[in-house]
Amino acid sequence: MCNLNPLIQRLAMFLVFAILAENQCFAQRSLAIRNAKIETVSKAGVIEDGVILVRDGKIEAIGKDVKIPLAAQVIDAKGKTIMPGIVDPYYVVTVGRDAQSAGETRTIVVRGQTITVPGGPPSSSTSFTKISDSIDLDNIDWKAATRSGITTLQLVVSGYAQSVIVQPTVKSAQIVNQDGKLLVSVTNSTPSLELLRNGLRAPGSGPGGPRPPAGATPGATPGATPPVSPTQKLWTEVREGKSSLFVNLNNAATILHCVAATKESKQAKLVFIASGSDLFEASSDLDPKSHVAILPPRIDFVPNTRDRINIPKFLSEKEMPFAFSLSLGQNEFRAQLDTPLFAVSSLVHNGLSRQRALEALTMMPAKLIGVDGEVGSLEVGKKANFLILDGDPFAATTSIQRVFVEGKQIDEN
Amino acid sequence: MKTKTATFFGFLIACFNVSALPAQDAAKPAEPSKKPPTKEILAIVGGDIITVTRERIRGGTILIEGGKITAVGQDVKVPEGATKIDAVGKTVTPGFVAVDVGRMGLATGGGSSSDRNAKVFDTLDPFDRNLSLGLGIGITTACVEIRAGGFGFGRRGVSDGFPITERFLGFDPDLEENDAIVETAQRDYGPFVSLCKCCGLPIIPTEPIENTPEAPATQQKSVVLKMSYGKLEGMLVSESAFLDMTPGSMSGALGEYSWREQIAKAKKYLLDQASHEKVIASGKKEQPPRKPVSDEVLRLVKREIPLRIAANTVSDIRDQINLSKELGYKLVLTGAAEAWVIPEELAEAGTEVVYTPRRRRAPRFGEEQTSGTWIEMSRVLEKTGVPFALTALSNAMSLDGIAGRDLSSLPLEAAFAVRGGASEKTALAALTITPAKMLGLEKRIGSIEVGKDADILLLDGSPLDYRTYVETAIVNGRVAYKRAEVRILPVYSK
Repeated sequence: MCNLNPLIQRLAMFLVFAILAENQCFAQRSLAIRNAKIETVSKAGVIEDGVILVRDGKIEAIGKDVKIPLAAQVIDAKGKTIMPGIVDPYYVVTVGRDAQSAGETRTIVVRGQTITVPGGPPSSSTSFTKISDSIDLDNIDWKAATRSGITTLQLVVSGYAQSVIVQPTVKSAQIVNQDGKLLVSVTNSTPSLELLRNGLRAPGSGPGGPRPPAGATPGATPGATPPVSPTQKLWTEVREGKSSLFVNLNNAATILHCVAATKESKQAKLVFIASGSDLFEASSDLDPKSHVAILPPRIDFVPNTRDRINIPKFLSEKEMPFAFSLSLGQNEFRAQLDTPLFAVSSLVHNGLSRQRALEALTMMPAKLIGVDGEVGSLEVGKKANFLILDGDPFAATTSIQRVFVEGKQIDEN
Repeated sequence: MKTKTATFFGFLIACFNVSALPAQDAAKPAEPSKKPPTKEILAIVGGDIITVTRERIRGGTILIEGGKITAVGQDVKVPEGATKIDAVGKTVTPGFVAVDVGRMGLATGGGSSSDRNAKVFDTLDPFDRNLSLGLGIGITTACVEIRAGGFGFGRRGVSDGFPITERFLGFDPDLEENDAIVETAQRDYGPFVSLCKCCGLPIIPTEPIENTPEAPATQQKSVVLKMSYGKLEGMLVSESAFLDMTPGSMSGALGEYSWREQIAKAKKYLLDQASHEKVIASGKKEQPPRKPVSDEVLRLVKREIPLRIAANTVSDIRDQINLSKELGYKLVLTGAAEAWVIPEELAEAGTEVVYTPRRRRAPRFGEEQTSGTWIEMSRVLEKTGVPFALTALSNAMSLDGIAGRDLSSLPLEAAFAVRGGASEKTALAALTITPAKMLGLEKRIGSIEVGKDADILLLDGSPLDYRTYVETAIVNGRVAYKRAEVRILPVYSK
């Protein structure tokens, strides 16, 4: 008995220490970065020699005269620039079919890597895929994304699908929003245009209203009473202007067809994913009020000529909103991991406004994918997703040195 | 260090050689003007107007409103606020009409051949570069072919010129098109064909397959498109202007038999339909008769559209004329190499001709005076009153503006018709109003007249001169092509 008591005492002591130690770990030390030039992409504009104070993954304070707590871990960023983490609104994950073992599993090819995941193959291009149901985030190589400073991504597939919004972590990625945006790929042909037309047609006004999804609807139990399928709900949101529709277009003519097909539904907001040349050709049909463009940042050719043109500059002169997707410019994306903003900087040095370029990388895509309350700019209360660069973001030789997501460093150069 | 970086960057940017400003000048002529589109008036002033159907007007003015011609003449006043196009020293003609054009203005990517609900409108591609090339030589309206079996495109099309085995060499087991391949193979080899799982080559069963009987009449499809570069609106004019048939499908006893049967069925259906409508009108109920033939055949029987078929020798031409007279439909002959031998027969039957003055066909041995082609066919046809339209040696548009065998030589064919003895008026009509009539669109296009579509060309010389370029092409009242801006044809001033 008397031997037991000290043992219990010791055990209790040990537990108390353990819990204390644990608590100390949980209560993250706040992180302060000082002496940096901060591109906030908000009303605050550029802050010279500013301080960012991060606690619990959020920005607690930002500005010139921020008092740094004694316990805070301090990073001196003299001569460095801080900008918000890049948001990629259209990070393509292609879903292919496995011919040998059709029905049981399917293969997803992600940037050259082949991954097999459970679930049947989509039967046709008009079958609906909810990406969050069929993707294994741990099996995707996020290195290219983090290396390029992308801290929030909308994962998309070509075809008819609902996207998922993720952010990279140290080794993998985590889902920010599993119910992303409605995606359709539209080609210059009847079936895909019909999908768009049927979806945008208000129920009851046309034959049958929105077409029920061709494939099995995930989550819907057979015989369940509510007749509203997930796709119908998504289309309703698009029709009412509550959510934007992401339309991937294969040529300039399809932009005209899309605009013609969506003329009736005035509230619908359409996000066009197209090449710069196609957007340029169809620009007379684009409406800045209801259309937004996502394009790869690059100098394009005027179609059918040898003239080069700065399409983003052209779009901003037309007051057409646009966002960049770094990963859309496949070749540049892979080749310029060390200087991911090189393509954008060439656009800036050829007349694109600096502010528009920064916004097109951060705030605009964040708005498009509905995460602008949390990311996209450096403001108090937002997630501490930012990049530390060794110079001006739009200087040719600038590279990204550190990438932070929710206050945690996920990549370092 | 900093300056070094800057110079380095400057060098990089210099490498990009961005010329954003001239590029924007070279923007599409399709760019709409910033004014509201309410009743915009376009005035073409001071040109030498060749109206084709009426007299020539020197120093005349054309007013265009809402895509139509509203006034033509020497004493037409230009209203205030109208956009003026200076045409002094220029020749103004109606846009040319090409009746035989290969695939253009239609998307090459999407669409599956198996989809019967596919609409032509959805495949229109108003940014097809060929439209600009067409406008560059003056074509504003074209009858474009859509291949038989829907409009599936791509490498695996039925008539892409490769034997089927060659096409299978590139077989890819992952391709979604496999069903389409099997379908194609079965059409070519019979219903028992399957594809080898390893190599994708068709497996033909060892049992002997009976020869497939002579095919019943097969039809091809073509659509009429305006070359309205950059605009979908008003691009699709008509989805059936001709009933197109392959000559093989009507030759031989079976071919002719099945063709007669089709026409008989169509005629019977039209009678049944009429009596059915009477029954319905009297208030009784009755099942409508089943449609036994395609809409095009019905329209042919109603004489709304002509049959268009290739026939070159005298005997082939006679066969077709006799069939058209017997069955009572309108006939347009293409090729028609020996039509000059029997022009009276064509004139008497009201047959029209689409031919190429530069095409050569050797005469048969011993019949040198009555076979083969003859340069003077244009004169002979004009004299006997056989309407003819012109087409180029090839219906493709490929040579980037160098007049050779392709469609870019279309106006040259008119010049060769003049060389053969036809009047300039007839030769110009052969590019404009005559093909418009064949397409049944003579009320809309083919001449410069009040009320017609404003499809107008501004040329820097005579339309029949090989040196002439189209400077501006207006389609549906909108400037769709400017040579100086589009720059696909040489730009220099004479």
